[in-house]
Amino acid sequence: MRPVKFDQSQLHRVAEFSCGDQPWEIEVAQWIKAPRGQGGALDDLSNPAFNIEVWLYESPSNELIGYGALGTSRWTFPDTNNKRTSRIVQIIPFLGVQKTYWGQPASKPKQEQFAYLIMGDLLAHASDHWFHDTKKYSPILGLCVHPNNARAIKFYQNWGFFDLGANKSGHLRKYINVDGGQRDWI
Amino acid sequence: MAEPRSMTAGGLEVYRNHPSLGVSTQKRRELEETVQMGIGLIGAIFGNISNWRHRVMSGAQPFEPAEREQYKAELADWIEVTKSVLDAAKDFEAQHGYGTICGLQFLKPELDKAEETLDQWNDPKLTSAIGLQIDHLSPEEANQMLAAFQKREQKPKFTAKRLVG
Repeated sequence: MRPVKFDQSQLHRVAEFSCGDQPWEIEVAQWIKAPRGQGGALDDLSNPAFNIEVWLYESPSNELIGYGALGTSRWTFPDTNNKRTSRIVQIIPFLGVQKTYWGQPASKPKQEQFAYLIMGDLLAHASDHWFHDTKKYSPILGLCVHPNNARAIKFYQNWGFFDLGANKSGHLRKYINVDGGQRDWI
Repeated sequence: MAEPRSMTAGGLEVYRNHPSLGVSTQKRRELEETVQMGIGLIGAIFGNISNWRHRVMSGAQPFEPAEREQYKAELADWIEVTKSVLDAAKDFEAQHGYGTICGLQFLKPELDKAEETLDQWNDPKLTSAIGLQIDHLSPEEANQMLAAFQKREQKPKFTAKRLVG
């Protein structure tokens, strides 16, 4: 499996992208497929403040297996004087594997299956970002997951993500430290 | 005895309008200053638009059509003025030689960019990626998050490696 940077020229490749019928699965597909002006990946890529990178992951025969995205956001909170302050966090906005590739290759151990390889690639990128630019990036990598998305919650738990409450829309926040262990996990 | 003129209290104007400089030199300097101001101004306009787009896309503020109209009007005004500046500069250079107005070569690309931004205008929209939207933590969540910056044991459980494209 190899990554290919996603941009406008790749939009036709994701036209049939599907990773399930649940609302949270449809959301993942819609974001990558959305044309300009619909609040999807292409719009977010055009906003330099999101620092977004999106990769399509394809098989050696160019079949689209899934995609992953990495960007930055701000988590705000009240400081000791009750004024709002914020910290930059790295964010995985979406990660999706086409349903036909779930649990594949079945012959391989879990951490060598497609979903784990994509997450590993995103984590390694996030760690490199922090290693090379500590002003622009954060060692904290966060994401939000729909509370009913048990499969994804288990997946993030397996990777070692920690819980951090829920946001205003009820999505569960998760985070991990990509500077951890002096990066001995890369 | 007259007070000596400082740069800020009239000295600059005296130099600028000194008869020995000649009309063409004064005109060239005026054009160069206008060009510099134009380049600085469009940088500020683009910066304001970019910040506004990010605030809307990240959910920090709602989209307001009136704000959009204001930014579009600022761009349109700048384009109109800049076209007349370029015409005046072109006339001047036709008389005095091309390349005589410092900074002019940087103004035309900015004009092209401004026209393209206006022609291909698309309104910013709140991102559908929840994680990219600005998020507000409670004090307890914030404490946990801030502590996590130091907790290097909160690392991934599996080996992660970059895939090669």
